[in-house]
Amino acid sequence: MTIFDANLAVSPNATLRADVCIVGAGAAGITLARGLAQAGVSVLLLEGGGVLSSADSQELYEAEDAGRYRVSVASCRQRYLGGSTNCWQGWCRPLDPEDFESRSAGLPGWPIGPAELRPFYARAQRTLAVGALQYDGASLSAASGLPLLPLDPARVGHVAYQFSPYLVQRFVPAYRTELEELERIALYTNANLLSVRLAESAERVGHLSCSTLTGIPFRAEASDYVLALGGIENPRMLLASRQDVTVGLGNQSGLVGEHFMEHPHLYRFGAIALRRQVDTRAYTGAFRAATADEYSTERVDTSTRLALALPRTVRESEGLVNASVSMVSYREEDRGELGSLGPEHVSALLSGSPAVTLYHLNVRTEQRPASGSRVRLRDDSDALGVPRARVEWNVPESDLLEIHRTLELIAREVGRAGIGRMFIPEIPVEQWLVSPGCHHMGATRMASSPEHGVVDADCRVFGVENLFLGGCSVFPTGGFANPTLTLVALAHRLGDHLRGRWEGDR
Amino acid sequence: MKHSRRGFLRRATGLLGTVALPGCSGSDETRLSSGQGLEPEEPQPPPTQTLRQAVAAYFGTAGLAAARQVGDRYLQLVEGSEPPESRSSLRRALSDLQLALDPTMAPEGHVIWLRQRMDRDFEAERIVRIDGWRLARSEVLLATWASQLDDAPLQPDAG
Repeated sequence: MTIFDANLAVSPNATLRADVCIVGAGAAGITLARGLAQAGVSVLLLEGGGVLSSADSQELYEAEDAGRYRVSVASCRQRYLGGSTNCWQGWCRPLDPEDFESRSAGLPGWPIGPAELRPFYARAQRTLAVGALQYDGASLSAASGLPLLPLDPARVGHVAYQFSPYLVQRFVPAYRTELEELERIALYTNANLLSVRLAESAERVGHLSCSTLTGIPFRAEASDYVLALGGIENPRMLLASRQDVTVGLGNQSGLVGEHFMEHPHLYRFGAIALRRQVDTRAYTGAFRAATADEYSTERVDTSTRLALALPRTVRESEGLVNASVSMVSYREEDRGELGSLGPEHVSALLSGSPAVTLYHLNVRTEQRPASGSRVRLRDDSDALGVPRARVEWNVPESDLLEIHRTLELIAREVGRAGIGRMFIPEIPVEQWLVSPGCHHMGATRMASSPEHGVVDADCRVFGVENLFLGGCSVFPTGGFANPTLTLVALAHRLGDHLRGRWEGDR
Repeated sequence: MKHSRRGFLRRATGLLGTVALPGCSGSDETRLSSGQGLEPEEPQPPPTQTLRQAVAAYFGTAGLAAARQVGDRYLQLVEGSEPPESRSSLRRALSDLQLALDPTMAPEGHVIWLRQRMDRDFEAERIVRIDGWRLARSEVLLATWASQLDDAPLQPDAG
């Protein structure tokens, strides 16, 4: 790979060419570029930011945060080489099988199923340097020797997160050596996309109109194009590319930007007081679980942490969103929220328990795709003349009520099992402090037909023969799992698809 | 914690409808003993020795003060609750719990029996919310009883 600074290496009105042009050098873009280049496909990788963070580049991400809940549009994203892997915390977990199904009336689920994605998940596991594709809490508990909480698995289950090692979370340092050896990649930094322009046929992308922040205009031409800009920028750039189609590319059904989803997070929401003799190590700190990779029989020491979740049968019978509930150490300064009762009272009520240990609960939950949560364009523009985004993140109150019920059911089982008692704040859902997970999903959803989505099962934009999207903007549903593993899996899958197209053309 | 049983006992027995409170003039007592929503025709049997033993065995000396605070808080919430039928419901529930205790059972047996009863409460979602805490109905009733009993007979080794 050769790295060029477009400010220095591109002449005004120049045209850069390759087999495939990928816009955005984050987790999806870098994964795609690696896969394609390894297969001999020439890749033009355009990164809007520089090698390092800069205020001028980051400012282009400024957007209106206009929903009921704040997305933190600027601070959640990093606009430089490596993209948001520069601030990723390494949480990995695949979607659950039921997450692929329809989660809202009138909106279908994924056009591909979990079996289709499973081999790509396995490849994503390796990309992110985590262990086997094993996220069942019981199996990982057995592998580590750390016990599960003694709860009835038919009522409350145990889900696992794996953690990508810090040095791999940051994709650029992690893969720089490998990328530098891939001669088929030409990476241009400070190369900003202005708009996607169609060819005369109007069914294909003809070129990308680009510019540096210093005002050097240039073009990028390729056989296939991939926008891997992130969950807000992907819909923004499709909507902003209206020179050839007034409603924006892929927006014939008006779905670009619609059904924007986040993972609502409730941090330190409620508490659980457990008998002190209950072993919580598997839940309160990352542990090593040596697990065999089913695809290679390789054993990897995986950094893992468990959380509580309702089993599918319970969620389906109760009609609840998918969510996980983690335990973290309790902060003494938060004792006041517990009201009149505290751990000493729980200890008394749990006859025979000399003391209890208090933990906060962190809730990570699915948001059902719904109208009224969206990414739109504003009338004003950024320094490059691209209309800024207006993000309206709204979570249906019904989703939050389902979370409340989820906590009630966990409290019930914790009590029934006799291991402790739970505290759920007596706060109306409309006053809950709902935080974002910095997971921007759904605004260019995948579907089997354009009436329900923006891209097809191959991540190709409906109506544009050679334009593809990478990243979690294509998720039609999001489950509660952090999206990086899934978006990297989709990037591997898209890479295979593009490689097949390229080999077919050859 | 020094627990003033006396004043609270008056309130509680007023709630329970077992003891007339002549001359009661304190604001709380007045509200509780004035008969609003209460059903004086339902006399409450006094706490039995079996109940006292069960309370003492379950909470132990170390947990008694905290349990009483739970009971006190619950009575405060019931007192302020609407509709007032919940008070008569509580009265019946307290009575039922006492009657359900087997007087031939040893204190250790009561502890096991009470734990099982609490497990069943959670199973059946007979759950009481006290300031956000999700508690078994039976443990709250037992704590409520604890809040109404004088200290002396509650020593675990008494009787």
